[in-house]
Amino acid sequence: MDDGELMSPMVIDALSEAGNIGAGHAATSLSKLLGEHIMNHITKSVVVPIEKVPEELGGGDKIVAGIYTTFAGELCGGILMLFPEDSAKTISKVLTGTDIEGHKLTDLQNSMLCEIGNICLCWYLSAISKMVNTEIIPTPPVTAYDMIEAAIDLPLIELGKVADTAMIIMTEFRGEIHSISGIFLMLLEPDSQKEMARRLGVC
Amino acid sequence: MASVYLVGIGQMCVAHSPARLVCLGLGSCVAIALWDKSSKIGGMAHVMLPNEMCAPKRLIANPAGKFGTTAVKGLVREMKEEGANVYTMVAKIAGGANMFKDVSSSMKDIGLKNADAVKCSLEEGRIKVVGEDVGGSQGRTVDLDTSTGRLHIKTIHGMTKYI
Repeated sequence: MDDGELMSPMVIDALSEAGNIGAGHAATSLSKLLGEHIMNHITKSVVVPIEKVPEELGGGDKIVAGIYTTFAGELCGGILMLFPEDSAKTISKVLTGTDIEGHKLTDLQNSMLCEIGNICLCWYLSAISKMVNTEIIPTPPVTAYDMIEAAIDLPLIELGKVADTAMIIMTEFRGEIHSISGIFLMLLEPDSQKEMARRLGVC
Repeated sequence: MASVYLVGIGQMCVAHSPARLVCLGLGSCVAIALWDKSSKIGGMAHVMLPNEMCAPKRLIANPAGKFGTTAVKGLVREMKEEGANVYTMVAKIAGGANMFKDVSSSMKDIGLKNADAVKCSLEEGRIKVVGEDVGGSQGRTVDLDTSTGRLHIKTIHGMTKYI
């Protein structure tokens, strides 16, 4: 793949499908954690050049919880899970019984959001890993709770050095009582995209 | 009512007074705010990386405000074209935070490296830095008022100040 070129349609399809499967598993985990039946539904799945990511996510100073991990192995890249403020508050209320006050997370809330994000991320990575039959090893996740652009700029900078495009998958997790939105932001190195295409048998 | 220009990640913008230049949600990125008091022309760049060394070709092709090293030169050139005087120009910088606790050490420093690169370039351009608010672990929104040269900084944790 040359610089500036978008991902191949097959890889995009595979990443979207893995998103679907991963989000399905994540919904099952969330059902158990939140104690109600949660259905998921993908509202948007797009690939955009890295520079366009903030715009695509609505950008600006909306507050989000961002959980970020990188991964290595035969596929290398990074993945970021974003929960908008309302969703982060819902998760915190249900799981810790506490409200997020003054945009500041307590240690417990921070660690809990990190773990929920990590569960969702790992389901996504696991779906990809099964699809192309390779091992993906994620690093321990890190968390930020701040304005969306501030939360995504480090991953974009770090991975922008090697990747050109990002896959954005927006998901709604809907239960009878609570609803949570989650955004997966996936960046795959160009060589890993090639490897993925090869493994999917399309190169 | 002064116009408000949003400066997105990797972009830069120059405006005459009355106008405001705004960067929303700076994390590891650094905002350079240049202001010339004689012409009341302001410029702002939203810097992503210290320099072009580690960037892919695609970004270098259109550097604009992406790199600390090129953003200062680019801003000064554009401001001069608009009629600003480089000798009465001052700079303020903000941003360069480390948003993720416990992140690996190579990434932890991106914010500070950005800030250092910007400061070096300003020194080379002989532009005095009259205010700065860099580092820390919180996102910042900055707002330059081109009629006064004041830079307003705020975080979601209630910190608000002018430099």
